[in-house]
Order: sequence, then C-alpha cells, then structure tokens
Amino acid sequence: MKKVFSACVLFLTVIVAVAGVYTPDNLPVAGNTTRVCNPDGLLHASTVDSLDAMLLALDRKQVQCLVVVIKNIEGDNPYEFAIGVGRKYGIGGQKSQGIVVVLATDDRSYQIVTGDGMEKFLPDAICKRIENREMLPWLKRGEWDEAMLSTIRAIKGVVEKEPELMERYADDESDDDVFKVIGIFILFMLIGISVIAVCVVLAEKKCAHCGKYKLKITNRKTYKDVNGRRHIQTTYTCSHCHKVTVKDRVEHNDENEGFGGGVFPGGMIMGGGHRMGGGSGGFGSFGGGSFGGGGAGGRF
Amino acid sequence: MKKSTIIVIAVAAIVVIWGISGYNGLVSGEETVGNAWANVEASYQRRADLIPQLVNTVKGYAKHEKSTLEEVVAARSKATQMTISVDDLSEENMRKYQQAQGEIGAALGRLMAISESYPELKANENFSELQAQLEGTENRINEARKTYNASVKAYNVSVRRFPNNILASLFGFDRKVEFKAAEGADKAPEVSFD
Repeated sequence: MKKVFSACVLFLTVIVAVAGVYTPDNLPVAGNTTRVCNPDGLLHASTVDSLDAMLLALDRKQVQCLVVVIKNIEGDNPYEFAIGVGRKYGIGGQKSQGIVVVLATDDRSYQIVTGDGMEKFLPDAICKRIENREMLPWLKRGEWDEAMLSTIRAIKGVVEKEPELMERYADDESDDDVFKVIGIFILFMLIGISVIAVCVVLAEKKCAHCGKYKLKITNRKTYKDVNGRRHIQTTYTCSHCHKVTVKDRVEHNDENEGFGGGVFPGGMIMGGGHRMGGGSGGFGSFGGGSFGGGGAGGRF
Repeated sequence: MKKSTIIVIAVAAIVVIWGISGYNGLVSGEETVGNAWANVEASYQRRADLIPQLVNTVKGYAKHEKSTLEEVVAARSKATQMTISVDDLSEENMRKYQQAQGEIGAALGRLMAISESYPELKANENFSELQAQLEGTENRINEARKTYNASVKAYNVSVRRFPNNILASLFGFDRKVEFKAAEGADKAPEVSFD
C-alpha cells in the first residue's frame, strides 16, 4: 500500500514538474478561440481579453500573431521553442504572415519570431527595438501584463502603418469566400425547398388504395367544428382505381400564415447573421505558415 | 496482330512510363536541392551585406580595433567573391565555401567579443539592432542549411535506390554534397544580450 502511495506521489510530482515546462508539442494552443497562450495563468484574464482584441484586429489584416506566456521552456531555448510552435501550427497561413511572441518568466527570456511573409514588415531590427523599448522596461519590473500589452500594441502599430497590408485588407479574399458560402447556402436552400415542394405535391396526389400518384380533386368544402376552427374537407378521386379519398385538415389561421410568410426573410436575416459572425467572431485558422529564422530575442 | 507482339508492346509501354515518372521524380528532386542551395547562398549573402554597416558602427566607438575590423572586411570580400552553382557542388568546392564563410563567422565573432569592452557601443541602440539582425541572419543561415541538408539527403536516397539508380546513372544524376558540421572555424559568432 505504501509503495502504491509513494508511486502516486512520485507520478504527481512528475506531472507537476512537467506542467510548468513546455515544448512546442505539449503547449496547449487554442488558436481559434484565443491567440493568447497562458497555461500558467501568468496574465490576468482582462489582459488576455485586451490582447485578444488587438490580435483579432491583426487577424483582419491576415497577420496571425500568437502570444505565449509561460514559466519555463524545455531546454531553455526560446528561439527553437518559438519557431517550433510557429511551424507546428503553421501560424501565418498561406502568406506566412505569422508572429510568435514568447515570454518565459522563470527562464527570464523572451523571443519574437516572424514568418517568412512578415519579415519585410517586421524586420529583426524592429523586433529588437520593440523588445528594447516596449517589453524590457516592464519585464525588469516583473509586470508581465503591461509588457505584453505594450508589445502587441507596438506590433499592431507597425502593421497598421503598412499600406500594403491595409490594401490587402480592402480586397480581402475571405470576403469573397463568405459570399461564396452564402451563395452555396442559398442554392442548397432553394434545392431543399423545391424538393420539399415536389414531395408535398406528390404526397397530395398519392392514392392510399393503389399507391399511384393519380388523385384528382373532385370536391372541396369548408366547415367549422365545435371549437370554431375552420376545416377544409377535400375529396379526391383516383383516376387509376377510381376509389374516393377524403382528406380533412384544419385551416391555418392568419397568424400562422403570417409566420409562414416570414420564413424566407427570417432565413435571410440568419444568413446575414452568419456573415457577421464570420466577420467579427472567431480568429482565422492556422496552417501553412513557414518560418525561416527571422525575429529577435533576449534575456532580462 | 500476334499475341506476343501485343505483350512486347505492353511491356515496352510500362517501361517507358516508369522511366518517365522516375526521371521526372529525379528532376524535381534536383530542383528542390537547387532551391535550397540558393536559399543558403542568399542567407550567407544577407550576412555579408550586414557587415559594412556593422563595421561602420563599431568604427565610431572602437577606433583602436582597426585590425579586427579589417579582418572582418577582408573575410567578407573573400567570401562574397565565391559563389558556386548547385551543379558545381563538389566535395572540394563545398569545403572551400564552408571555409570562406567560416572565416567571416570567426571574424564576426571576434568583432562581437571586442564590442563587449565598449560600454558606449553596447548602449547604442543602432548597434543593438544590428546585433539582432546579425543574430537573425545566423538563425536564417542555420535554417537554410538544415533545409538544404534535408533535401540533399532525400535526393541522394532517391538517386541511390534501386531501380532509380539505373535511371540516375543513365541520365547523369549525381549525388549532392551535404554541409558538414563545423570544424571549429565555422562556429556562429557568440552574440550575447545583457
């Protein structure tokens, strides 16, 4: 029993020891919901929110930036770690406009790496300048939140000064994609509606006796039942087996008809809502970004 | 047509199709190696382009280190004269190339070492950014070399494997040379930030 207990304790210690030391493989990255990787809780929740808001603005310019704040990096090599994370997730997308900002507070090291497509906007010297001016003064005082906020603010400032990135945003391809999605959505809706309509028409014409779709309306009358609801009673005659079928249904009242009429505009609004969601909600997905070794780092 | 003729034609067609696909595979492998080599040269060139700026900045603060500065400039001019196309990459040429670049690396290392003893230089923001650029360039060189070696490895395997080796010897696809680990001279300069 004692042995089992000590084994458990040992196991837990190992887990705890591993938890604070990260490699690109065990780093929990949730790129689509947040671009701030804060597994050790070193940043306040409000800081994470502010950072995400800025990173989302960058994402609009197709610049994917990931912020990683942890205690220790395995092997204490921030450059290898940052580039490893960038490559593993392909941060930067097809244009390789990715940035990974890493801060390891217990190792007292920091690193910014830039993707291949980002190097011309954020050359190594500018990375270094941002680190020296915006990050280091805060790091020396142990204020991780301020350090990250001012760093990302500076990166955002650099990106926003780039006319090329801003133009690219103007004729954003993803907007076309959204329209394509909406177009396909509408197409499928139209196909669905017509299929349903055909089914309904066919069901109306199906003869319960011989199974052929040959029912024809021969008589229709309306009456009110005891609850005051209007019924429509339709008499069909099958032109194949000449048997008579009577169908009775309660007529929709005006409110229901109004609702029925509103289905299509409702669908449109939903479509619009979907587009808005695509425009302002989550982050773009990672993948395809390559890193060639750009960036700068240091220790404090 | 006789049955045997049809069989002969079918076998010939299969051999031709195999030959075409094998040949194309070797060509694209060679192309990948060529690209990777171009990247290696470009990143070494990038380092060389950085040197005049670096030397000028250091010169302003460390006038007494003339010999070290001249060493860097000399190593640079020697190395930039040397460009090798991927087809001429023999063991011998590769050794020369590595040696020339290694000399730059060593000279830069000494330059960075002496800059440690000039506090004013270290405090200069321009110099700090140049150091960062140099470090980034060294990183790029390493990445480019890694990519090059990986592509050479893949290509060499495809050249030597049966039955591709028949095609390779038929059409003259030679094995390519990898970068060797440094023999002391080719160490990246120590750039420290503190």
